[in-house]
Amino acid sequence: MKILILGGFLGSGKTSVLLQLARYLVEQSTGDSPTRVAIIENEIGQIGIDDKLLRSCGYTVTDIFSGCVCCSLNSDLISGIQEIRKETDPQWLVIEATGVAFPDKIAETLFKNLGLESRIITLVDAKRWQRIRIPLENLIIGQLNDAHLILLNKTDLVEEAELLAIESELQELNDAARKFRISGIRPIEAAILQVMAHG
Amino acid sequence: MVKIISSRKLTKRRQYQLQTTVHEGALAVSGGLHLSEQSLSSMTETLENALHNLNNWVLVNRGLVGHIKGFVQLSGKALMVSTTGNEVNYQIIENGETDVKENTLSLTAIVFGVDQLALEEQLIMILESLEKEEKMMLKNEAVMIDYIDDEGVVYAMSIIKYVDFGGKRFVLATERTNHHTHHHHDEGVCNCHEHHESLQDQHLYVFEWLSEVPGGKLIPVNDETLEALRSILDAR
Repeated sequence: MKILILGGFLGSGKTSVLLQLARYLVEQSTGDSPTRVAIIENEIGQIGIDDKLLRSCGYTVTDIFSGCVCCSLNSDLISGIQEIRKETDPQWLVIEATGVAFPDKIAETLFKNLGLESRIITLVDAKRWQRIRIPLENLIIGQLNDAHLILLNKTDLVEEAELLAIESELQELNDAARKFRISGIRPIEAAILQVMAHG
Repeated sequence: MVKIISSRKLTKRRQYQLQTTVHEGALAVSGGLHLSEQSLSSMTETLENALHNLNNWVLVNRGLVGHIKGFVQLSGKALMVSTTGNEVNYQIIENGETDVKENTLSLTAIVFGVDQLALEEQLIMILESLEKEEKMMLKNEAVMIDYIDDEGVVYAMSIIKYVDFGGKRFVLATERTNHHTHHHHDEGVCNCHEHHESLQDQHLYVFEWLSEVPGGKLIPVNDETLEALRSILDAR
């Protein structure tokens, strides 16, 4: 089971990206049966909304509500993954973190408790970068820690000069991650989806 | 600091399943409502307005909107409305889940830097107005309430619209004095619209809506408030 962790600040577009990624993974199926993709949806609020959106689009979702799996709910995450492995044994597991989670802590929990490696994909909202970068510095920088891939989203809403400035900051904050631009006005390119899935 | 809160809020919290989670400085307040299937189209506009108003409230209170999301789940279709502080986006999902046991509206506001109780109060106000608007729309009738002026004169009013502005709720109401009596209707509610004048011919009065009083209470607004509300009301 390959694990992808989708992180990034609130409203950065994680659920929209997850929908495209899940569709891509299923479309890449080889053989007779389609690739099995499991989704864990973690939402900070008591009542889930993104899980309802995913279900409306035909996916089966495991929910973990009312807190973050990066800290207070990490035992729920471990038991959730064990259950998924037992019942579905999917080829892929995609975990959508809350917008205030630290994805590297989730990866650490999975490795320490289950011995599972995972890839971190962090989304950055280009339109709100300047607004949230300083007031929420610890969170924003923490979400970029150990990310294997950074997707700069909503690039259609920002001038080129500002995009270059953001990319320069992202490079300083995490020079090891591969970085791509995406936007909500067109589908994510297959080449980027392939990197998201396989590196 | 100890805060004194109206005991009525306990009932409201339970009624709207209000729950609050705090994480990394973010307040996540969630609530919900049960809905009728007929209400999706009107919900889009109402939710859009509600989220716009909540954005403004957060701005006025020097907070930061993380994400505010509303989801209306009906059988076979759904509506997602969301904002990160500026424009409000919505998406209607056709051919959605059909195995829906009950129609629901879920609302979550994740906000930084505002008072928890004040944010909860905002969500209660939104859920309350959505619920009341839905009732009005389903019955195709207005909510009736008496307005008592400073001299103790009672006016029978019909509320036709709720408007949230500046952290307060206002209502547009019309007077019912020209109407005949409807002894046969339950709860003093009139639904025989064919007898009544059209909305264009009616005078609409603006009141502040006091939800803290059981059943609600209409209180008059001054000229300054009316002027501040005019652009919003004209747009409707």
